[in-house]
Amino acid sequence: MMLLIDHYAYNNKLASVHRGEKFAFFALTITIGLVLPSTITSLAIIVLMAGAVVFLAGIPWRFYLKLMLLPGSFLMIGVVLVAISISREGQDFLWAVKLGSYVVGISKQNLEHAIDLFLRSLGAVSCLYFLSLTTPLTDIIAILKKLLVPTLVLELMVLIYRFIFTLLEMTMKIYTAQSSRLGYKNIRTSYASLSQLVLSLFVKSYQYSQTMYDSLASRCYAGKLHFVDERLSWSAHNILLIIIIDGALVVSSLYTGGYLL
Amino acid sequence: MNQYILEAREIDYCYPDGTEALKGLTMKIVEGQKIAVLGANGAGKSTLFLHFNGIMRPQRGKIIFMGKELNYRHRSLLELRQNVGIVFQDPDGQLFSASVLQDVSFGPLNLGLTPEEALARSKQAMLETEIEDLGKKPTHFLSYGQKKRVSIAGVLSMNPKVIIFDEPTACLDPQMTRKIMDLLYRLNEQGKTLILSTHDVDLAYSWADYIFLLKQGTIAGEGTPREIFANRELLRQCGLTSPWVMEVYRELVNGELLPENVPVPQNKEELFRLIRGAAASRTHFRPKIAGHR
Ligand SMILES: Nc1ncnc2c1ncn2[C@@H]1O[C@H](COP(=O)(O)OP(=O)(O)O)[C@@H](O)[C@H]1O
Ligand SMILES: [Mg+2]
Repeated sequence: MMLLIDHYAYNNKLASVHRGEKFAFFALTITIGLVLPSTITSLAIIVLMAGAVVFLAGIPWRFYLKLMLLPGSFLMIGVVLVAISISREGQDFLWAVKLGSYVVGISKQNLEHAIDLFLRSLGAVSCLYFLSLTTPLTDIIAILKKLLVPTLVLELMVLIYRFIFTLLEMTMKIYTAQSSRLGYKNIRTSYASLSQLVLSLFVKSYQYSQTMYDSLASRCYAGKLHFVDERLSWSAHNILLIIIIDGALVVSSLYTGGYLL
Repeated sequence: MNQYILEAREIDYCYPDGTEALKGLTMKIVEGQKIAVLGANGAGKSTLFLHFNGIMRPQRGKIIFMGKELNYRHRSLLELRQNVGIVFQDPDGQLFSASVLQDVSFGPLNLGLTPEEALARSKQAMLETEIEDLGKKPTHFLSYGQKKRVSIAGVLSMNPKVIIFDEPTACLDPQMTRKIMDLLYRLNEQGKTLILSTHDVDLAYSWADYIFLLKQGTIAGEGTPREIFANRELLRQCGLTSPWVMEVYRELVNGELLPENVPVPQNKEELFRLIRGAAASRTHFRPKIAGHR
């Protein structure tokens, strides 16, 4: 999954668009979605981002749907808990059951609250997906650097990003080697194999970091990673589009000023 | 002025676990040459190369670059590493950046060049290694051959005088091997001194100007390819075989298909030319041979 997201980040139809534009779109939209409380706005953002990801960036809609279902299902559970309330006397419940002297039910207010929360979170998630599916990490780092995020944080991001994939690859290799010799035949051998896998991952990571340090040193590493970036040109057309879309979002949410229900 | 650009003088190195990897090894590298360091696995090639770059420090002996002894202070190390680049055997261990361009520009930026200059040099290096299209790719999406070329570009972009390649063609397919070797020829023509380790005798025989035979941490022999490969006993002791070109040549001479006084061919093309020449001169005798039967 993670590999695929990363793959799409480099291979999508918006890959050549200026990273600043994509980031601005992301940042503006997510801010609007989080700050201005309107269910319609949240819905609009979800649809907008889905459209941008599927039609503009050309990510398969099935893959995007799967991605959205991941946090979607988590959110569902959380939101149900928000929607349900327990009280002694029957308020204006839309739906309720009596349990002894308590009433368990869903009030109109709570329902609105829950729906708002659900859509707003999903809106924010889709903004994040938009960014991570269209913008490679290197570009995000370049932007963060422009935004004066400390270099230490950026260096850590780069190294962690690289190591995630190295570690994944190493794990896969060891796992394959073990399974090809029946390491995961039954529970007992599986435990034994797994413990060896973890152990050799530790040892290998250590050796790996050693060779990596040697190679850094051989290229005059002085405790600092540098970041180069290539100049890209901004497109007035895209910027205008972003302003119009986000402007419309602001206006609509201020105008409706409230809730769907 | 010394003609040797890089020297190791009687160096000893013992790993913390007690393995004596180098034992009183002396190696002198002539500027502008193509050097092959031949040795079986575990002979100490990689260990020696890490010394040439100041990453390891010998317990005894010294490393000399352009006539100056390496003193392992910051400035001295920096000067050495700027001029002697290593392409490590495992490209995965060398690539650490998120993207190819980032990795290639790492060295030049460390040299204190301006970003524009570093970018220009990186682009040049990527052009030479034919990876100019990969710039924005993350290193984990590359094939092995691509990773190898990225790691070479990362060293080229620093523009070193000497480039050391630790088993550059191990695990590469024939076409990629060819490409890398072509690149090595070109680099040498640009005046760079190249040191390459390998256990591929054919490659060393046809490519190198000078060969060092490494055996258990010592130099077992050195000389031009013809000198080295004339000594079959020495090769056997070092766990190596004769290059096939030489074997075929010997067989042809033994079978009296080639006269004994022709010079030993240095590569496949020369050998084939000899065979064609011999075949052409033979056609004159054919009636006689037929008459014998
Ligand atoms: N990190 C290490 N710790 C202990 N011994 C090592 C280490 N690396 C290499 N050696 C040993 O040093 C010797 C030389 O290794 P190396 O330089 O890697 O040989 P080569 O590159 O010629 O295959 C070998 O006997 C090897 O086992
Ligand atoms: Mg080695």
